Amino acid sequence: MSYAELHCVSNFTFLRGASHPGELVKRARELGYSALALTDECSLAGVVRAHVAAREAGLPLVVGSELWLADGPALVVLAENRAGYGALARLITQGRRAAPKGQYRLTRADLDAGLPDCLALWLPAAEPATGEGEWLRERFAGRLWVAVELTASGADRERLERLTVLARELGLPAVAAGDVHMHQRRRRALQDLVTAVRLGIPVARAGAALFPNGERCLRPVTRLEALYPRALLDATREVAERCRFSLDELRYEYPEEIVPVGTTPEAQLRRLVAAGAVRRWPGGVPAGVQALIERELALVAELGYERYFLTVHDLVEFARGRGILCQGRGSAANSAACYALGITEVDPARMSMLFERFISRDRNEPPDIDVDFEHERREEVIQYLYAKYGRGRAALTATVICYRPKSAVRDVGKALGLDTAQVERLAQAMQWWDGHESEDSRIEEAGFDTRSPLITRVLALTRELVGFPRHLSQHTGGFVISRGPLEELVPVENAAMPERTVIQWDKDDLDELGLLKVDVLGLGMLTAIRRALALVSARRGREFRLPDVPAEDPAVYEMICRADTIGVFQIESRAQMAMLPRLRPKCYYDLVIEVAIVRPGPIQGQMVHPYLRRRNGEEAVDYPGPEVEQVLARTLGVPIFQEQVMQLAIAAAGFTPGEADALRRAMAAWKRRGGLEPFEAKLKNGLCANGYGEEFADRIFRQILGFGDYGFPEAHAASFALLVYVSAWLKHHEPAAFCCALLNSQPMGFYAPAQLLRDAREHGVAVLPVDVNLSAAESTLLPADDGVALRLGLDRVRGLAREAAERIVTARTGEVFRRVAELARRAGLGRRDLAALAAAGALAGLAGNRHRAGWAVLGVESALPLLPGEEREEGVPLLPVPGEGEDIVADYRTLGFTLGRHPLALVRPVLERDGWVTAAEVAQLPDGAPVRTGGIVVTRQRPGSAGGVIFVTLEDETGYVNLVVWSRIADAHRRAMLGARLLGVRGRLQREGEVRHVVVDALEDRSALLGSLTTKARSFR
Amino acid sequence: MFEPRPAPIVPAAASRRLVPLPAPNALAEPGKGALWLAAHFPSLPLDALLPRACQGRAAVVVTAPDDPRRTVVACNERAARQGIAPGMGLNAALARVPGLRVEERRPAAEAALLGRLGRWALQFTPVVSLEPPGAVLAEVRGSLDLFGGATALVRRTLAGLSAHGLTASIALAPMPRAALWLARAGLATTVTRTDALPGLAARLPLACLHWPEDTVATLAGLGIASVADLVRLPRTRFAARFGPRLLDELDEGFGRRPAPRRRYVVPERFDERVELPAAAEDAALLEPALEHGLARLGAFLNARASGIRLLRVDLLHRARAPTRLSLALARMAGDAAGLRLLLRERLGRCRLESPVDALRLRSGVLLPLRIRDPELFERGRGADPEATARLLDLLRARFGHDAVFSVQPVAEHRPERAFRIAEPGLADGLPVPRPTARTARPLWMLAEPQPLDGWDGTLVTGPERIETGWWDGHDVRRDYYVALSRAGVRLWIFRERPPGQRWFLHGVFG
Repeated sequence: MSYAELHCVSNFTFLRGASHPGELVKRARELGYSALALTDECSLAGVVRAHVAAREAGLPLVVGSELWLADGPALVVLAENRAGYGALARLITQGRRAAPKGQYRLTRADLDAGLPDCLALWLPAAEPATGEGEWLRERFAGRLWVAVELTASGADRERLERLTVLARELGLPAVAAGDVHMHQRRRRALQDLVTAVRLGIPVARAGAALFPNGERCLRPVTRLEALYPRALLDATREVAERCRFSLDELRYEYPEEIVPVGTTPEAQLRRLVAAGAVRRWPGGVPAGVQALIERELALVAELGYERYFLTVHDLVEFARGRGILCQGRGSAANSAACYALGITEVDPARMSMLFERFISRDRNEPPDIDVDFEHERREEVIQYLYAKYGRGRAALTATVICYRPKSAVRDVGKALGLDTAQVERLAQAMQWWDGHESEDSRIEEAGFDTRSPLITRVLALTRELVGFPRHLSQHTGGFVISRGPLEELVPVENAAMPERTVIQWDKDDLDELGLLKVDVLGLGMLTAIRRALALVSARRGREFRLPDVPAEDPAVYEMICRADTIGVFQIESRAQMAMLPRLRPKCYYDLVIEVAIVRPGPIQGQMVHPYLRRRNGEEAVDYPGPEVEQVLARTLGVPIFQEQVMQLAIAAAGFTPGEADALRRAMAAWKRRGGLEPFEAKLKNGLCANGYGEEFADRIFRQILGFGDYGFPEAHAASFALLVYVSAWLKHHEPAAFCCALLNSQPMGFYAPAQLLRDAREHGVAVLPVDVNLSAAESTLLPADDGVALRLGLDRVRGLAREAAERIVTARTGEVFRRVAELARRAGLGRRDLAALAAAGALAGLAGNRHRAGWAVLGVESALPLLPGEEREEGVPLLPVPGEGEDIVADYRTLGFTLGRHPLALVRPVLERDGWVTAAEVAQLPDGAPVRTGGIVVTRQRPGSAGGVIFVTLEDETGYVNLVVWSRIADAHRRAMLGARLLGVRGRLQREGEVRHVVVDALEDRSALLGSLTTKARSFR
Repeated sequence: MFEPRPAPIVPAAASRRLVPLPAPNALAEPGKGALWLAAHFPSLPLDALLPRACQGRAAVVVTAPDDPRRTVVACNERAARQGIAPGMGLNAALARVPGLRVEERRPAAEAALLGRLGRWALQFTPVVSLEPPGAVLAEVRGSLDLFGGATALVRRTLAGLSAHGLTASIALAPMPRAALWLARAGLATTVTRTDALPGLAARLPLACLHWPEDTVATLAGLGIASVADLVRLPRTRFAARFGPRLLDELDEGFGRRPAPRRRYVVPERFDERVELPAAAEDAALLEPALEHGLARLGAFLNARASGIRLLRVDLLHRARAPTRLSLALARMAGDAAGLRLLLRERLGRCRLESPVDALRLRSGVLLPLRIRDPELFERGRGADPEATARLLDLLRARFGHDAVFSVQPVAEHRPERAFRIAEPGLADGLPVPRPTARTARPLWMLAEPQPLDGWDGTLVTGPERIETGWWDGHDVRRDYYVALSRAGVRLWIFRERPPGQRWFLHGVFG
């Protein structure tokens, strides 16, 4: 006797289902069900996850959906075959596109023509309407069942009799179903909770909206046998067996139009690569490279991936035609063919990598290329894709937004009746919560008794809710393009942004099914590099392009080794800067390692120090075995890249390439879903069997866990390293252009304009203030006595509209402004724009200091005079002259930086009295020296990989001080830690070569001192 | 052009800054030589919610519920000591003090407290004015002699407030607005002459003006930090930029313009005493006096087009505390007719412990009487709501307040919680929740399920499984059945789900 559940929603029926698809599949298998249908409400968002789980569990999965027609009836639709699946996906798309994001609307009209190749289960209402059954019978002749769902309501017997009679009258078969909302009865509380969240009321008031019992779970077959007549249970299997569709049947077919008529994809790719190779190697393609290209093309042809490469090439060509800088990265990008095609700039001669490492012959999976575009112009590329393939065939992939501790505790707290303030307090306490009991102390500190039943319930349910999908959002740039209509492959729904749509699957889902996707990503550094190159070209009077940047300039590497890298791509972060003087990159490949090594994977795997020791010759480079040597030789025997871990698994632990690939995917997903345990055993056993020590196996596995956070493959590092070098070269040789380009590309990178400007000035760049008569809309370079100077643009003025800045520049042509009222009239500026300019000091040339300019602005008549040139001139009243402190504070408020003295220079006498030393003095202290210092907080970081440590960077008039704050200290000084702008510190200096930081013992908030800047002696003028 | 010190503003024809105005004191209310006491209550929003004695050892802040930033409007000393100050965002405050107690501001409570403070101030002078949101003004010139001078008066005021757990900042000045500025600025000072104020202007920050936030921000952007900076600006151009109203306020503060205040009047209530011709030992003898009192009440209400929902009647005895009767009405009463019947009912059940000399009738708050239009509102309604309410009042007067109630269904699956006792008539017009169960429920439910040991009846229908209620600690897991006892009584019984498994009787079908 067996049973197939045909009506089951997962938590992808948001705020109704209370179990993950995988949990449902696993439980159905445990209970000995013969099949499970996943029938989320008007959604297929969870089916891929269920499919993967079902494949592992060996349980037949039926794909379907529960639909509530707005004009009745409710039904479950199940796909019999591929055609039925396509029809269902199309119907879901139709319903979702007809309603705002997150909702759907289907009526009888949508189903009037029936749904071919699908089976239907009618879900009769409490008072069954015979008409509904008749209506459905006409549309699903021979494919319709009456679903009998008995949930111990007290009237099960009557219900069964009534539906049996109804089915007989209508000439329809009846079938048992469970209206399943959770995999186990103990999810009852969570199911009640999500119901209350859905309704926006506390659980205690949800009343009749809650289910009276926990029967809507996967129930043991024996219990079902006691409830249902045998025939109804047998019918479940009949229905399930008729549904032969599997998601494995979805095979991606590449777009046709990418190949011109009359040629084959293979010939077209060969032609483009050959043409590109001539461009790259004008003196003739080196023999070695030519051979590599041939091998690559042969592999591509063997696997049939030509159209994929052509698709990416087409995208890159489009960008190039528009002058948009772009660069590919990823598994297939760093190949000789892609270099020839212009998809990447990484010269294969510079890399020791082999292309075959990136496309696996053994796994039938398309190559993966991400393409970064200038962030400000990515939208043009996206629009090109839509225009070329049409919205019916191109769409952005989804990102499944899941509950995180903070959002979960908010919803749980509200549903359990905590008031808004309490919920906020709890959410604040959860700020750094990772779901472990050990963090209860923080919750207690926030004034909650973690032993009270209410808080216990809140925390327990929060733990369960974390990781539940909440809604679908747009992926930043993952595009899927299909040959046929996309909506027959996967349902498409409306995104939050108008005119945007999103498919119901995320990247992992597409990966699982082996569907093609291209990541069209935005990268701020590409924007900045393009701008910097344009500025350099303008100054040099001839075009200066990316390939014109001289390779391997030793002066650039010297600068990098000094960690003088503010603004440089990737290696500007605190952790990267600390690594640079230790790793001392000398060549391009060192940068590839530098980019990849400061990541959770190598850090948690404790690979960093062994690598550095070997690099500095403090430790012998040896290999635990010959297989390992082959994989790890280029990183001195220490695994640093994600690929190396997989290759190790294959070479040393006996994984098949397919298994290694499953491991890679599990690595990316374990934080969210877990599931690495089987690999752990297999990996460790495999390594030990091949004679590797337990300690080595342990290290490799820890590294795998780390990669889960942020897997960083060599393929991506190689592309990034190129941008690292280019940006470093620009910073070293063209500091003004580099700074100007970074400013104009904000927001991006790690540092705010204040730090970028300070760094540029320290490197000798003259910076001129914003001036309404001299500044362009953006920052610009202009010739100066000793080279170039940087004139800050009007866009630096906070609160000034972009259009207003442009109007100022246009109106100024030919004749400068002489008066504020004239400026207002000619540039058509409103009071708000004028006030922003005045406050930023940009009207100094017209009206004097900020206070006077502000007064003048207030005097501009809001209704402009009829005749130009009628501006009345007024005397200037007695206004206090802004002091230096006031100006500095106003600069920070209105521009975000000051060109005057650093604020700490003004309060230094006070700080000296308190015994504070400057950042410059800290740099001179010996290791272990006690330190008393402080500064303005520039960054606060709590990297996930750093085990509860918080990194803080302080700034004063002499430089930066880096702090290491252990969580114990941070907790004890929470107020200062989170709230202070001016932070005082007591601690010890720790130095290791060039790397210095202060390990903090105590913190104090001295922000009040900054307030005193504005209350100095005043004078009037 | 350089002026090192703020120059006093003197009404001189020479200055183009000033529009000539009548001499300052001539127009100041309420007459020559007025002296205003301003009391500013910085933590009024908090005091109105939570008297100091109830704050315990918690750090408490008050925020406005409609403010998206949830700015702290007031905090107690404990919170202030931990770095919290009004004007701070709630998130910032919580970051500083995670265990902070957060209350939501209640304007009605604040207004009520301010009203109480106004009444309290009437003991010093008849001329009191409320200055919402957080200050009270009192003209005290005439009272100075009585209370022994300004200093003594201030001391006395502060002591009185302190006894009520309130702190205030108090200042005196000839102009009410100037007194307010000084009090808000925390300058505990007495200014007796109009021309002394300019000397203090430098110590008056802009915030004490209570001007709109963006105006203050704009002025601060001009480098203007105090009232002294402000009065240095040219009049007409100030008015052109900031509007004439703010200029008027400045003139009021400096006594260059009269500033009449609205006098605070204590809200009216009916409170009258009716003497009996002779001490009455029997309640029946009270009736004529009661009749008389009620007639006066009726006339009082009628004249004010008002009604009441509360009437207190004290029976005053010669040598002991009065017997107090209190009538809470289901419907507002606008005349004496309905009240008479109820009072008679109450008095009829009242045994007099001691002879009564007089009656005192006191009304609750006066409520505006709605003018009813029977044509519009009562057509087609079966029961006369007035009559229902009268019946209800009568039943309650006889059987006691709690003996009369209504039963309402509650949307809840647990049977013992699926109904509630409610105020009769309260549900009028409110939607009644749909009963949750689709199956039969007995009319008679046991207060507590009774264990059934050795049950041997017959199960008729079921099971109806109820598993719910985890959220309040009373999770139930039961299978309910309709059953027949051996005596043929239809019972509602349940069996606990494992591990309990015991049978219980929960109800009996009629």
